[in-house]
This record gives sequence, C-alpha cells and structure tokens, in this order.
Amino acid sequence: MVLLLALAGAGAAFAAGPIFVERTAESGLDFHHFNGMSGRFYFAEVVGAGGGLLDFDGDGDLDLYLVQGRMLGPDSDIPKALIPPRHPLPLRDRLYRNDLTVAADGSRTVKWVDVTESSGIDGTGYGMGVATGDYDNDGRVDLYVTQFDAPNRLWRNEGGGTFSDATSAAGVGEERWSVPAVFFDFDRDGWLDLYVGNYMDYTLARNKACIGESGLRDYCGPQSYKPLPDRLFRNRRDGTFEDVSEKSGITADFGATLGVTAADFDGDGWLDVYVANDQTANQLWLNQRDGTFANDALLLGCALNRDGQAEASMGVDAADVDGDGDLDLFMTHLTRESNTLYLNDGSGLFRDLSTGSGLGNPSWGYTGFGTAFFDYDNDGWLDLYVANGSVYIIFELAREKDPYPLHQTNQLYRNLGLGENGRVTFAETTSEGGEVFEHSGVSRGALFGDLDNDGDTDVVVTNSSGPARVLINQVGNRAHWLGLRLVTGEPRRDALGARIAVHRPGRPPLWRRARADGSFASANDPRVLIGLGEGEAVSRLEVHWPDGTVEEWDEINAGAYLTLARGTGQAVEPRQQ
Amino acid sequence: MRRWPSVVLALVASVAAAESPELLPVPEPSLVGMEAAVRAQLSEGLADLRSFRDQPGGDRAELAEAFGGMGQIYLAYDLTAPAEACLRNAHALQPADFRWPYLLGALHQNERRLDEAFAGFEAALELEPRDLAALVRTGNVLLARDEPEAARPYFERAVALGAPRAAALAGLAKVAAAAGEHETAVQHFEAALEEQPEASALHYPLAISLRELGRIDDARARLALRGDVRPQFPDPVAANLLQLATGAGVHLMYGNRALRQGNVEAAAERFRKAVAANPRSAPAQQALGSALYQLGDADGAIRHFSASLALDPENPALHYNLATILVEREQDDQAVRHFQAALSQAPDYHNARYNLATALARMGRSKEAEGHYRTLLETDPTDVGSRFYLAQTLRQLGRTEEAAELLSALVDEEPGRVRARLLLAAVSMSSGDTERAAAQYRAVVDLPSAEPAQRARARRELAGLAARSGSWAEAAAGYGELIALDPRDEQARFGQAMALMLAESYGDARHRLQEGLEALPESASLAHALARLLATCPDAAIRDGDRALQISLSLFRALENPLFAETAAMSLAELGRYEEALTWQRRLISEAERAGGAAILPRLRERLALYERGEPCRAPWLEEWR
Repeated sequence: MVLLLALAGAGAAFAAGPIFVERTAESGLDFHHFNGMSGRFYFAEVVGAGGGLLDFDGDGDLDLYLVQGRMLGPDSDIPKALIPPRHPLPLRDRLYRNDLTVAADGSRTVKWVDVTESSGIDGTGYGMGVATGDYDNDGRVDLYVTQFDAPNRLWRNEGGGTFSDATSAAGVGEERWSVPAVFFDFDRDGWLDLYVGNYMDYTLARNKACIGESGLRDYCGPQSYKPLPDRLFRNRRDGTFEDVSEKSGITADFGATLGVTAADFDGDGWLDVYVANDQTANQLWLNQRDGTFANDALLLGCALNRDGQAEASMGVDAADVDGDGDLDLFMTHLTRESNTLYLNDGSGLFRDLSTGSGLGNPSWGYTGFGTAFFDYDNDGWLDLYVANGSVYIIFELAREKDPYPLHQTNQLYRNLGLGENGRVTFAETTSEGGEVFEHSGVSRGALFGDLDNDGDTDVVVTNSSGPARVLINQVGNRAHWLGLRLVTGEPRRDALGARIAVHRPGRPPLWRRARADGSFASANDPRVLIGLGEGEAVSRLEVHWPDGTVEEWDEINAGAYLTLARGTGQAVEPRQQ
Repeated sequence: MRRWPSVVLALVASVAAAESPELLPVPEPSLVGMEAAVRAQLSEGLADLRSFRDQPGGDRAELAEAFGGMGQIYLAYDLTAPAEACLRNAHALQPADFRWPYLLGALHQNERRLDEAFAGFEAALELEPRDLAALVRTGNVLLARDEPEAARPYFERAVALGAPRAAALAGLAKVAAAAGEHETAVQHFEAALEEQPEASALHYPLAISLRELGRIDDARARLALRGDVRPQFPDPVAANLLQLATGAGVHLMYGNRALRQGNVEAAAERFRKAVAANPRSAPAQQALGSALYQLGDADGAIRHFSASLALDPENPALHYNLATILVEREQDDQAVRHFQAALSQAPDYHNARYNLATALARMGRSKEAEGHYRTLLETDPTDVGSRFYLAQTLRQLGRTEEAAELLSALVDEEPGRVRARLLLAAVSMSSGDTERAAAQYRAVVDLPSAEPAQRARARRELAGLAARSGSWAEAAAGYGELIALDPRDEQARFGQAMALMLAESYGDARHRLQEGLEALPESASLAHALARLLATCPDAAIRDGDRALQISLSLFRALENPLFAETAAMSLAELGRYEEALTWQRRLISEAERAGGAAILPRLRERLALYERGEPCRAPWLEEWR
C-alpha cells in the first residue's frame, strides 16, 4: 500500500515549468557576500557564511538575516581585495523585513526592506552563521550570530523592530571560531539552551601555506589545524546562560564542527545533538536525561561512512525520510566523498544507505554545504536541496583564470518514496529545478521556509563572495498541504524540538519536527509545512512537546496555516515511539 | 563540469579507411597554466599521433597503440575527456587489447560514471577473464551501483585466483553484509585482515557486522583498531600510468590526493616522481621532504627541505620544517637559526616563534625565550601554550611567584589543565608552598582528563610530600597505591619500604621488600634495602645477619658500590665479626677521603666508632630518607 501511494506521488510530477524561479532582484534583495579574499588564503575566507529566516516583527511572514564578511589580516583594506565588495558599504550583517503583499487575485509578492540601520544590529565581525530562538521567553525570536576572529553575538529582540546586544549579559560570547549553533531545550525546563559548534584552532597569525591537489597554492584543509571542542550553554531562566560544556560531557569527543542538529534520535522524548565534523568522526550526543550527554556514534553507525572513512561533513539535517516514524540523517561532503544518508532503524542504530538511496553517486563531483529535507512538491515525501561550492581550487577553473575558481552548481533531489525493496529512493531533479540551478556559485548556506506563505517551501541560498538568491517554489501548493506553527508558553513562542504526527485516513502518519536548525550555518522557518499529496483529509494531529507531554487535535482543515498551542489540545499519555 | 575549448582535433584515421572503425574526435585540452615540461610532453605526443594518423598505409595496430599511448598520457594528467576519446579509439582499432577497455573502466570508475565503468571492465574481462584487478574493480563498481548480488561472482572469481585475496574477500564481506548475512561477512572480513593486517579500513565495516550480530564488545574492539588503509591488490595497468606523467605538477596533484587519503607511501612515490621530473621545483622538493618526514626518514626530509630552501630561500615554512626536525635531533643551535630565519621572513609566524621560544628555553636562554613568549601573547593573550611555557621559563629564571600567578590563572580558567596543575605544584614546591603543591597534585589524581602517567606522578609527589613531612604511614599508603597500579614500580616499592621502616613497621617493611623482589628480582635497590634491614633492624626478630651479609657481598661484587660495602660492614657487625667490620669500614673511609666525599665521612666515622666499641648499627633506613 505504501509503495502504491509512493509511486502515485511520484507519478504526480509537475505538468510543466520549473520547480523554482529566482526572485532575488524582484523581491528587492541586494545582499552580496564579501569574503575578504586577498590572496593570503586565510582559511575562514572559504567557510562562511549563512543566514537565518525568522519572523522578528511577529507579522506572520519570514524576515531574513544575512551574515557578512570583511577584510582579514594586518594591513588589509578593501582595495587589496581580489574580488571587490559588491554590496554597498559599510560591510555588515543585514536584516531584511519581508513586506509580503497579497493581491486581489491571490498572487503574492515578497518584498525585502533593509531595516539593518533601524534594528540596532551592528554586525561588523567576520560572520559565519545564525541560530534563532526565543531564549528569554518574551514571545520574540532572538538571534545568535557565530563569527570568526571575534566573539559570537547574541541579539535580543526588544520588539518594535529593534534588537540589543545581550552577548555579555547572557554570557554566550564564545570567542573561538564557531560556525553552527542551535537553540534547544535539553533539560526540558521550558527554556531554550544553546549548543555552539566550534571549528578549528586557527588564527590569522597561524595561517599556513598549503599546496592543493592542483599543485598550486590553495586553502588548507582541516588536517592543518587542531579542532576545537564545542560549547553547551544551559539557560538559567534569567537572561543568562551557564557554560555546562565540561560537566555535560560534550567536550569528551570533538572534531572540527560545521553542522549541528538537535532532535530526538532514540525516541525517548529528550532532545539529542548530532554534530557533523570536517574530516573527523561525527558525534551523536544522546541525552542521558540528567544534564549529561554520551556519544556512541561509532557503534551506532552514524560517525563514519559505510567504508569506515571519516568524511568532511558540512551541512546536516535530520528528518523521517522513509516514513517509519524515526529520524534519519543526511549530511553533505567534499568532492569525491559523496553525501551520506543514514537511516535510523527506530532504536537509534543507523545504516549508511547513501548508495542505495540514490543520493551518493550524484554528489561525487560536488562539495556540499547547506541542505535540508523539505517536501518541495508536497507529495508527503521529504525531498532534498544541496547547496554546493568547493573549498579547494578547481584546477580546470584556475587554468581558465577564473577569479574565484571554487564554484559549482547546486542540486535538487526528489524523494520517490519506498521502492520495491522497501527502501527509500531519491532521484536527482536538478534539471527540472529551473534556470536558477544553472548558476555556478560558491554556495554555503541554504535557508528553507515559506517566504510567501502560499503553502510550499521556498529557499534562500547564500554564496561566498556572491549574491544571496531567493528561490520561490512554483509547484508545491498544487498539492494539498497543511501549515502548522507549534507554540508553547505565554507569551507564545515556537516550540523548537516538538514532533508532530499527521494522521490520515487509510495512510501511514507523517512525522515531522518543528525546528530552525540544520543546513549549514543557517536558521530555517520554525513552522512545519506538511505536504499531503492528493488527499487533503487529516484525521488527527499528535504533537509531542519538548517537555515530554503529548496532545492531540482533530477536525483539521488543510490548505492553511494553523497555530497549535500547548495546552489547547487533548492530552494523551506519552508513549515510546 | 569540465570545460574544454571548442578546438577539436579531427583525428580521424585516414589509414586503411575502408576497414577502419569510425574514430572519435579528440578534444584538445587547454594547456594554459600547465608546466612547460607537461605542455611539451602533451604537444609532442599529439604531434606523434598526428603524424601516425597521416602516414599513408599506416598499420592499424600501431595507430591503436598511438591512440592508447596518448590516452594514457592524458589520463596520467587527469585530462579525462581527451583520454576517453583516445582510449575509445584505441579500443575500436585494437579490440583484443586488454589495456584499453580496462583503462576506460578505470577512468569511468574514478569519475563515478558507473555504468560505463562496468562496461569497460566487462569488456576487459572478456579478454582476460582471470585478471585480478579487473575482477575486483568490477565488483567494487557493482557495489557502488548498489548491486551487491551482481558483484558477488566477480569477487568469488577473484578469490579463486588465490593470493592476494584481501580486496576480494573484503568485497565478498560487503556483499554478505548487504544481504544481512553478517556471520559470513565477519568471516570474510577476518580472513581479509588475516591476509592483510595493515588494511585497517576493514575494521569498521567488520565492527558494524559484529554489532548486527549483537557482539557489541567485539565490535568495540574492532572500532578501536579502525584506520584508513584499504586492502591492496596488484594493478599493473593502472600503475603504469605513474611512469608516464613527466610534469612535477601532476605528480604533486596525485601525491597530495594520496596524502588526503592517508596513503603517505603512495604520496612519497608521487613526490619522488615530481622531483625527478623537475628537480628545480621547490614545492616538489618540499612535498617530498614532508612525506619522507612522515615516513620516518628524517635524513631524506632534511635533504629535500634543504634542496627546496636552496631554490626558495625566503620560504619561512621550509626554515620552520627544517628547524622542527633539528629540534627532534636535539640540534637546538641549528634549529634556532632556522626558526629565526623563518621569523625574519614572516614575523607573524606563530608556530615558528613558539618553537623558537621553547628551544631557547631548553638551551637555558630563558630571557630570550621569555621575550618571544611575551610577543606571542601580545598577538593572542589567550594562547594557552605560550602562557604555560612562559610560566615554565619564569620558573627557570627563578621568578616563581610570577610563574605561579600565570599557572593559577590557567587552572582557574580550565580546571582540567593537568600540565598546568603539575607545573604549578612544582613551582609551589620550589617556593616552599607545599600546601598549594599538595592541593594541585590531589586535583590531578582526581582529574578524569589526566593521563595515567600524570596521575602516577601526582601520587608519587604526594607520597614524597607525606614522607618529607614525616607522615610515614601516609607516605607508605601513597606508595602502595602506585604499586597497585604498577607492581613493577621499583621507585614506589623502595619508597614504601623506607617509609615503613621509618614508621617502625619493620615486619611489614621486610614483607614488602621480599614481595618486591619477587616482582623485580633484578632490583639492586630493593635487595640492598632488604640487606640493610636484615643487618640493622632494631627488632631482633627481623634481623638476619648471615642473609644480610650474603646479599650485600654479592651486590658489592657485582656493582662495587660503596653503599653495599657499608651494609656488608653492618652485617659483619651484626654477626659479631667486628674486626672484619672495622677493616671494611676503614677502607670505606680511606676511599671516601681520597674521593673527596666529605659529606659522608662523619657518618662513616660514627659507625667506625660503634664497631670499635663492639656495638652494631641499628639504622635500617638509608640516611637520605631520615
């Protein structure tokens, strides 16, 4: 039955037209990243940067925060940049408000307005990534920005479109080179804690001269420097955080972290943390429910690829891709490594299905960064986008005197559901993705969310030394869908980490999670957008809140966004999934 | 992904046109940015191919050889598009030659064009059904296509050929694992590892199969052994490509790729080729030096780093690399000169300054070292290593309070810093603050991050501190903990015996010494301590003058240490043989006078007086322990 439905979904592909169209210029997005490349091959130049989607003004649509770079090193000023900045000066992170309009005919237009100046955000460091979450439970989403060569910054949302720098007061100004971060409530106290992924013990003064495969001077790899342990900050519920990195156990193992996602991998109702590392084994920190975590990723089978090789993990996401109710993992890797899909057997044991799923071989020639599972065609099966861009010089491009010879094209994959062998399979659909997939760039972040609130997932892609691009989904809302915002507390805030089962008559439930994490150095739409395919009937919604309680709702109408607040559903006994 | 210029050679054979197959045009790659030697090699090869093509009445087999040869050269340089066209033409012209379809298979396998790779290897196997490399590669291609059952017969055929079988056995193991036959997978993995124990990459998939069988402890044991070395198999056709590339650049490229895969030997081989291709290539000499260093050939590394430095004298990294090796050889003088040269080229070269400071400190040039550490800390005040070694240098300079302040800050910031705690303890000892020293040692004993040797050192120091304060029972217990951790810890056994004697637990001391000699029968210090106890113990029930004399004499004859002679004299006195005791003691005194041993003379004379009075000695512990 499942197979038939899956194949039916696969057959309902789109009649015509691209899946995505680019609407960068039309939407008024003028952001162009500057990486400060000066010919000194500073490592950080090829790592950043990402961005975040968040509804900072609470008007119901997604706004956009984009992270900027600057010149690096002594005696470096902008005229020495190999690629001059294209964004109007001064170079700083940018906050764009989404002034979404809906015309009488129902057509929607996203319009970005640069509100950086009035927001009070003064992001002038060498930025890496973004995490979003309401850390002070005031009902307004806050921003955490990771940086190289400067402490990370926590921007507290003060309301009225303004932010204040709460870094010092909160005690989360990690000074080491951080890239990903995630807000999550690991101790179930109703307050968001913060995990910060640290990369390398690298300073400009320690920059090494490396020769790449091309035989030319090139960026060094992670082997050239020592990795740094990550940090875990526990929310003290008074606007400050306690550094519990040591006592929680998460510093016992570490690599060069580039990706982090927090989710319940072993189905015990407590949020765990998966850490994707660059060329060292990945970690799965299982929540021990007492404030500590234990990593057993090697034995669990999600630390290395199936040949036992540690890969250069960059972006990461966790979702139920095979419809069996547990969380699977996907991470992007270096050229000639292929991306990796680990399927969870429900008990927290993973198997590498990269080859069998169809996701491995097509990625062989690419270096992947930002990625996420999302249902671009709303057929009920989670598809995949991968933002690519090399970190080493591509010889063929360098020979052609390309000024930034790291660029590659991005990829799109469609989940075909379960095949005859009962395993989930994907097909690359890049060629159907639209003209935007013909752009070759050095993509890093990919931010996923319904920018125009039309019931399908759009993407913002960030590019190192390139423009941020807005990709508007053209096809998703042709199928049935249901949008959910899961909120908790008073004032209401997004219940990051909540899981939801969408029960449909005669069909298996769809399991999704409310999250902003994953991808690469980016924050996503915390709302849950569920593709229902050809049938719009939803019999019941079952929400597993981060505090362990479970509630249900029935009489659900699809085709719109609903808000489910904790405490307004029918409480049911929690059960092991 | 790869872009080729629009220029396409119309390399269509004119020879024997009627019988010739249709040949593919060969795209001409851009040679921009390539080394002169490579450009020349490719241009000459192409010219040869053109002239062959244009020869009237040319031989078809020779033309195939020309296309194939050129294809191999292109392949050696990773120029896959023209390589593919050349190899396809060679195969079309000479379908019975194994090399061409095989190389096409290898080319496509490398590009992850798996269907074409399979076709190439299949065609090769039709010509050479017993070729091990083709069988293993075909199996691996099918595994990569997620067709394990189709791969099985290829691996089985490869195994049937006999040794070396490790790669094929590993393939069969993966086929079995994919089918859920984990018992079989384990057998195959283990057989492969038995044949090639160095194939450490197999431990991980073996561990996963063991996990599936519920053998968790076995799985963990295998995980602890995992590495990156894959099973090897002879692959002569592919290996031949190595000989073809002449440019240093391409060898550097392949060498660096091999390094990334953890195969340093293969990388060194490539870098040797790079140096042979262009001995005046500084990067090639440098890369070879680095690889040789990783392989343990420090002489070779110095040779090639020096050659590179001669070509590129302003390269700070080369000075640094050379200096690093010289430090390891304890040639600090020369190392310092190279570190300084590196810094003169790159003043912000952190590692060079750091290691220079460390070398200077080691040489006793502490003041200079201090200056460099302080420069480092100006750039990065949080640099833990510089702060630690600055503290160590300040200690050498006798500025213990400054050192203690730095170290206390390090420990306060991060309580798990074991080395900082140990150094702070040592500094505290120097300044007489035994309380702070003891607190640091106790913290190290309790720190999970401390290495066993660090923990043992802290326990030893704590026991020593207890002994120094006259807490003999506490000291004995501390040494006992060390002995429990390592029964062959001679120093701890000796210390425990001394502490017990000073605590007047003579019976326990004798028992522990005898136990120690069972564990360490070769220990002269334990034997001597026992002899001294048996000769001089205040408790008559413990004394045994005959045995004491026997032990001390045999130690003296073997090692001629005056301490043993002194104990022999004590033994003789215990036995009432005072004349002999006096003879030994007088000889000891005259030897000490001649050797300038003024410090021990009072003690020797005191005991001489005892024997002259016909009294035995009753001091079983060694004097320094009192």
